[in-house]
Amino acid sequence: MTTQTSAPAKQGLYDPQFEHDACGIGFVVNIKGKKSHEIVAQSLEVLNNLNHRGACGCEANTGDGAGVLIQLPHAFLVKAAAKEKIVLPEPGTYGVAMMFFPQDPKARHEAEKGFEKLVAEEGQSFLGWRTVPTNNSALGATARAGEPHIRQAFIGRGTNKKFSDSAGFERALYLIRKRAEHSLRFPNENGSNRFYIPSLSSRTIVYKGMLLASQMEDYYPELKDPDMVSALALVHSRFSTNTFPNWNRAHPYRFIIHNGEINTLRGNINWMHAREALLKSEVFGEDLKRLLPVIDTDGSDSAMFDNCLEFLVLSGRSLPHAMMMMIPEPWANHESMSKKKKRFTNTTPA
Amino acid sequence: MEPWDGPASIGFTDGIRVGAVLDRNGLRPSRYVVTKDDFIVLASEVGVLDIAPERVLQKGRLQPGRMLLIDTEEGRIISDDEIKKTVASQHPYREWLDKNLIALDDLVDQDKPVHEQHSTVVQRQQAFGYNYEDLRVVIEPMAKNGVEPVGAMGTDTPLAVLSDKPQLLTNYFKQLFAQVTNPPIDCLREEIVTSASTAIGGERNILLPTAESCRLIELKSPILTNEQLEKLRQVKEPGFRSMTLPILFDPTQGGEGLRLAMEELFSAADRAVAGGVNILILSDRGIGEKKAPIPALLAVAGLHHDMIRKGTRMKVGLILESGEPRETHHFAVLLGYGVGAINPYMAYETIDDMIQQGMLSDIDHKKAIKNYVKAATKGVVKTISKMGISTIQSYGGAQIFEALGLNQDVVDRYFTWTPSRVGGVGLDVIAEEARRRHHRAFPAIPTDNNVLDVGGNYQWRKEGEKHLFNPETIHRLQIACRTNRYDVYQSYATLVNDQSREHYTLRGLLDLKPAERPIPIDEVESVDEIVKRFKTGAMSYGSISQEAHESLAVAMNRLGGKSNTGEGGEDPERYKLLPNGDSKNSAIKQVASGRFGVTSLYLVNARELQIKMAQGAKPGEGGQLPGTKVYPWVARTRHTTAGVGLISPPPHHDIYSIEDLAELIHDLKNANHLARISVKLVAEVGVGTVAAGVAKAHADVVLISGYDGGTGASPQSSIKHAGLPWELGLAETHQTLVLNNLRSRITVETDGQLKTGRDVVIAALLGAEEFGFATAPLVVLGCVMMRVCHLNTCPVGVATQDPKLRKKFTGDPAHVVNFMRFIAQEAREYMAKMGFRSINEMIGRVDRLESRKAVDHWKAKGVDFSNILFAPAVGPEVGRYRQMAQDHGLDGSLDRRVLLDLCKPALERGENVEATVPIRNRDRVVGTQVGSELTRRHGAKGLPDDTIDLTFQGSAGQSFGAFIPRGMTLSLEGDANDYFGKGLSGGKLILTPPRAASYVPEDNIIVGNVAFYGATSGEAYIRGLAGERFGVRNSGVHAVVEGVGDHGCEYMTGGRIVVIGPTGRNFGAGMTGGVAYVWDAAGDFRKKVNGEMVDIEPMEEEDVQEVHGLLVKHLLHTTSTVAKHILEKGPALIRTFVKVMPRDFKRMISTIKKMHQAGMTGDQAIMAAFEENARDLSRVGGN
Repeated sequence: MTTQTSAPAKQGLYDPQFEHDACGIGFVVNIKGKKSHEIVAQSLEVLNNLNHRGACGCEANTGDGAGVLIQLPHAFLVKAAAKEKIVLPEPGTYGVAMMFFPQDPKARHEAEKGFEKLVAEEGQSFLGWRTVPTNNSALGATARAGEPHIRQAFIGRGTNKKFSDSAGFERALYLIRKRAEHSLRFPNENGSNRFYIPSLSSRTIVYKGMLLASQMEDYYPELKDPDMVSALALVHSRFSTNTFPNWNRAHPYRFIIHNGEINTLRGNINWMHAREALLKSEVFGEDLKRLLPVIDTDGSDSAMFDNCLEFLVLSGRSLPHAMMMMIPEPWANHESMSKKKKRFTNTTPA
Repeated sequence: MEPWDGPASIGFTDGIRVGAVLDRNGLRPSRYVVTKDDFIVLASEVGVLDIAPERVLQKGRLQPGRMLLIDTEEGRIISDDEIKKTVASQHPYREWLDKNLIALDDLVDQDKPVHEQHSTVVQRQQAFGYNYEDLRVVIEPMAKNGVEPVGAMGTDTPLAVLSDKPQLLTNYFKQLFAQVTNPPIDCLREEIVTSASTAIGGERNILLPTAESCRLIELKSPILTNEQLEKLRQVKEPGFRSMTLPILFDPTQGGEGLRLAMEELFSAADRAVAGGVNILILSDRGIGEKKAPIPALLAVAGLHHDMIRKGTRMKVGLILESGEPRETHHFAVLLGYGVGAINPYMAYETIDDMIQQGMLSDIDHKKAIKNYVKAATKGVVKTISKMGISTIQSYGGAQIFEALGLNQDVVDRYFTWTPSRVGGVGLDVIAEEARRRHHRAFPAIPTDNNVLDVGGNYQWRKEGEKHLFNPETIHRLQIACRTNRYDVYQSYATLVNDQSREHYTLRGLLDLKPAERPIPIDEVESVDEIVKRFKTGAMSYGSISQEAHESLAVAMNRLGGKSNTGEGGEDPERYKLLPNGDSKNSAIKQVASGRFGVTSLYLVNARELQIKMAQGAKPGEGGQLPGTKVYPWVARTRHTTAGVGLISPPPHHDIYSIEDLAELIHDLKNANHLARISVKLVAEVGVGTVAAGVAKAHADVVLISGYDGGTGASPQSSIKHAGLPWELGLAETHQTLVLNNLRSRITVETDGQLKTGRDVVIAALLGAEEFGFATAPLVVLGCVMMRVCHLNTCPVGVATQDPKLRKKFTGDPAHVVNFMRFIAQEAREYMAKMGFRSINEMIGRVDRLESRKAVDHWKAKGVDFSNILFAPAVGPEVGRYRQMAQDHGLDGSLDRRVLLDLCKPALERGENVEATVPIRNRDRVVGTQVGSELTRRHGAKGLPDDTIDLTFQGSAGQSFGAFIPRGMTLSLEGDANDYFGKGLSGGKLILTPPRAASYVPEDNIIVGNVAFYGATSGEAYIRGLAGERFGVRNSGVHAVVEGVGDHGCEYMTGGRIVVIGPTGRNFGAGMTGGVAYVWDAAGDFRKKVNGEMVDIEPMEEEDVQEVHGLLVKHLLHTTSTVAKHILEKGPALIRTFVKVMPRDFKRMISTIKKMHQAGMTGDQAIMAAFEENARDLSRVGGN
């Protein structure tokens, strides 16, 4: 068949904004926070056993998307970075960007330069690049057509004291990513883009792609490295309603894996947008303006949910609190909910 | 902030904490296992990781709206209660709210607005486009009974953009609805998750919650009475300032005048906001000779978007005071485009006027207004629930609509982001429509026009709106088919095709391009071949009479086409051939959300199994057959009780998303591998991507239904305003499938008011290869479009069960055969002219269609067909019609690999088979192929109990034991995922924890959600807890379980469920039959019961015996310690059980008993009881 390199643009009656997806999700966690490679390996086994909840397109060897989110595997990263002559500092004092670039070296080079510049502008030190080893020999033509060039960037924590706590450093990394998303897009021939940052954090990293669950380990061989350790691993196997190449829409996103669909999406986007004019943040201060808009409307509903959650959390809400704001428990007709909780869930104007 | 609403299971982490949460309705599955060595594994299914049973500490599931959180720094799991307490205590939310959130009722009453003169009511009604039908069909039932207006037989009036009559702007908006990728919800039976309340006021910085953030006025409903509006208008409480802005314009100034009026409105709003106003009331009171109302929706949506763009929208609440809105759809669109509350003053005034004129009797003003507000609010909640949204708050501004017939400029400016794909009218026509309404009210030369127009939207009227089926076309069609005269048919077809060209339909605006060299007609595919592609629509036995239903089946079988059972099951007698060779067996058997009569036998007798995701007349809604229509013979085919109302849920409870649909397709293919699996969708924007998902889920056929299809009974707002014409849905589907290179794997079918051969040709050119007809064949069988199907008074015996009326049926299968052959013949004539020898050659040939050159209609001229006639640029290797088979993956199934061979002695010779087999979650729908073979060979009776006795060890995949018939016993040692025992048809299922497990079985989850969905008979014993919706739509299974989640026994119509443990909320919602017995050890069961249809009753002696018997078996099969405990305590303990008994069911059962005592037997007693019951107007259920 004629191979496309990305999802088609709106044409005729077809409009990509109506694409849907669903999936199987799972996580494996050591409750005590003990890191091990076993967690990562087991999460991939979970993924494999959810394969039937994902789907493949018109080719048996092109999946709709699979991925895993883990804690930064420090020992592994130190080892891998060393090969590129990069010396990583203590855990927590550096962040890793997982990045999808265009295959075209020139376009990629420009994006990399732009990214390095942003890192410097945000007061962090750029430590270096690493190309993530991948093996696409088992991928179908469609997946290969949309395959990005995958690299990691290492970012050392800046000296300004506002980055000295973990949350402050995470906000700085978030700002870099948001600014990169605003300024470094590379529209390709079909109007889509392949500049995409699956994760950029000093805590977590995401490996994902347009893969079948069973292709994860083969495609990213380093996931098998015994030093690839984590105390938690979230996995996702995707079923989308199309057969177009799209690597970005695999999960996990930066904070979530999502099985479902946001029905009120257009309203949520509009209201969030309307709200931005009223936003003030103690922790972001003046930086706030540079990261807006909160929601990147190129993403799927899950991605936009992730955008909003991420923003609330980095602005200082606790993770469970932010989730409760976005998915409140039904309260109006609840016969046994405490009044305090009811009151909490009922705090929004129309 | 407003909830992000929709079905969801979300796992989340910040790298330290990991959590998971379910949506409020629990529509996605999530199971977890905690081990003794501090691991937790959570996934959509259980059994995804091998964990030795002795390592397991706890097995649980996520519950609706509840959160699971693990903090790896603290090294512990934090309970939902603790999380929520912590968050809620961070700030004194309660104090803030108590001080600042004001209930509307608590505001002081203000002087009532001055009522205008009644003598001018009609004039003002005219100015807002009221007609007589608005009063009679819409407002009357709302005001009188507090219910939404209901209608029948679809719609065949022109689209707003094609209508000659001025249309309200809201009519250009079509409601979207959930299908496949997310479920609609049942706002009646699952009211616990819905909310109509909203709040009015300005919002502050969400990043910094303060007491002032709560300075809001809370509304219980967004529909405001006049008194409530005045309270808001004159609000004096500190922190609120309201202002009223007029939305009027000079109608003589046309589109430009309207645009300027909008600009003025925007500036006025800016000034108001700058001046600190936080409640803006847009009002069209004050119309007059020089002043017409701006269409309310334009004012609301335009201002909403203007303020979003300016960043001021969150500072104010928007309220509309307008004479225009009156029906559900109007309210829904207005709320969907950002208004916070609506005061429909003209509707109230109309109600008053109707009371004064005697049009509304036996009701006073206050009660009528209350009813109207209630009906409107309920209608809106229902509209949002069709999209799977449960709170009006999150529906607000969500724009869940497609514009049909508006140009892009209008959309971009005032309805930003709304899809609009065929262009249409601009501001000038919108202004012109407003002017025409205004002119009717304020004519240049005053006339005595003190009457409303007749309307004719709902039923054909001489002076009213046009209908494709009118007395003339009905008459010609019936004569043609009865007398087998093709010439009369041609005169009918000419009339319909010409009418269609007069702007009734989109296809009417298309021309067929003839070939340069036509071909002789005898070179075209024969009538005999073409009719094989024809189908009749899904109409249940129950909605239409036996005579009509069987006539369609016989006719389609004679032709080699296909008729459709509809969703009501089918009498197995019909599977036998008649002596003359005719067959009454419907080739297509429908599997709908109610699963009525879906047994193993039903499934194996199908040539095609159709999963009905939605229905054109009411997509996103369930259905209800009132008890008075459930005649004994209808009940029998549905495996239910005569006289007891039946509910079809809005969603399939085993399809909440696309991978679930894939599972059901797979399940049905396992249940009958010879049948094609078809998925029925309704046209809406985005249906193409859904169809692509359906193709990827391995359906063999996808049906795209138009919105205008017929129906027994649907809310009028759904009939008219939900969904799209099939032309759009079909074209989008074909284009999207071609783009994805999926078209060659799936057959595309379409239906929706297809009436002629020309319609068939156009459908083929737009991408269909099979064609469905429903309304037309009913007309052929005698239907005269009285549109009273919902009243059981059909005068021609078509859509009624009343034995007296059925005698009037004059239809004959031969008439339907004639009709189908005429259609095929007409299509062939067009094909010859166009040079096509076969249907396959025509499929998707949009290049042979063109939009009519001479479209000079004042509205239709803006319609742009280029998107419909678009052909994606793909290579010749991409197929354009179905050419290859789907891979259903049956070969990898446990049944094919192991079980079928194992069970051969039983299947072939009826010998006993016993075996133990390992199983894991990837083994889905286990046992179903064996069951299907058993039914094929041994029929309805199956084999003696336990002939096949298989034991499985491990975690079973979804749909374990689905549809298995009598003679099969499957024991599972381990645990099971969702859809356990789906459609159980007489088999027996036993589920116990692994022997090595050390956890307490009755405290741990062992089976997932939606067990025994649509099961019709059989037994089950489950040692452990079950998830949500246990026994949903069960109509015969007897089961024992040790605890269930929310919505237990929902929509149940028969069988016995014994729960010897805790239950979740909303137990017995929509339950109309069967009995549940619950051991309420904690004493809190009563408040968890949804008492709308069921009563809680004391245990009688026969109940005690029944429960005792089931518990003895439970103990025997599962060694349950709970059962052992209860049995040891004896009948005294069983007597304390709670009996949940549906009211209607009880009434019927006791009436039947009474008839038996009076000496009647069998069917006679049931019929007598049914008749007595039907006379009893105090019936609760079903009305």
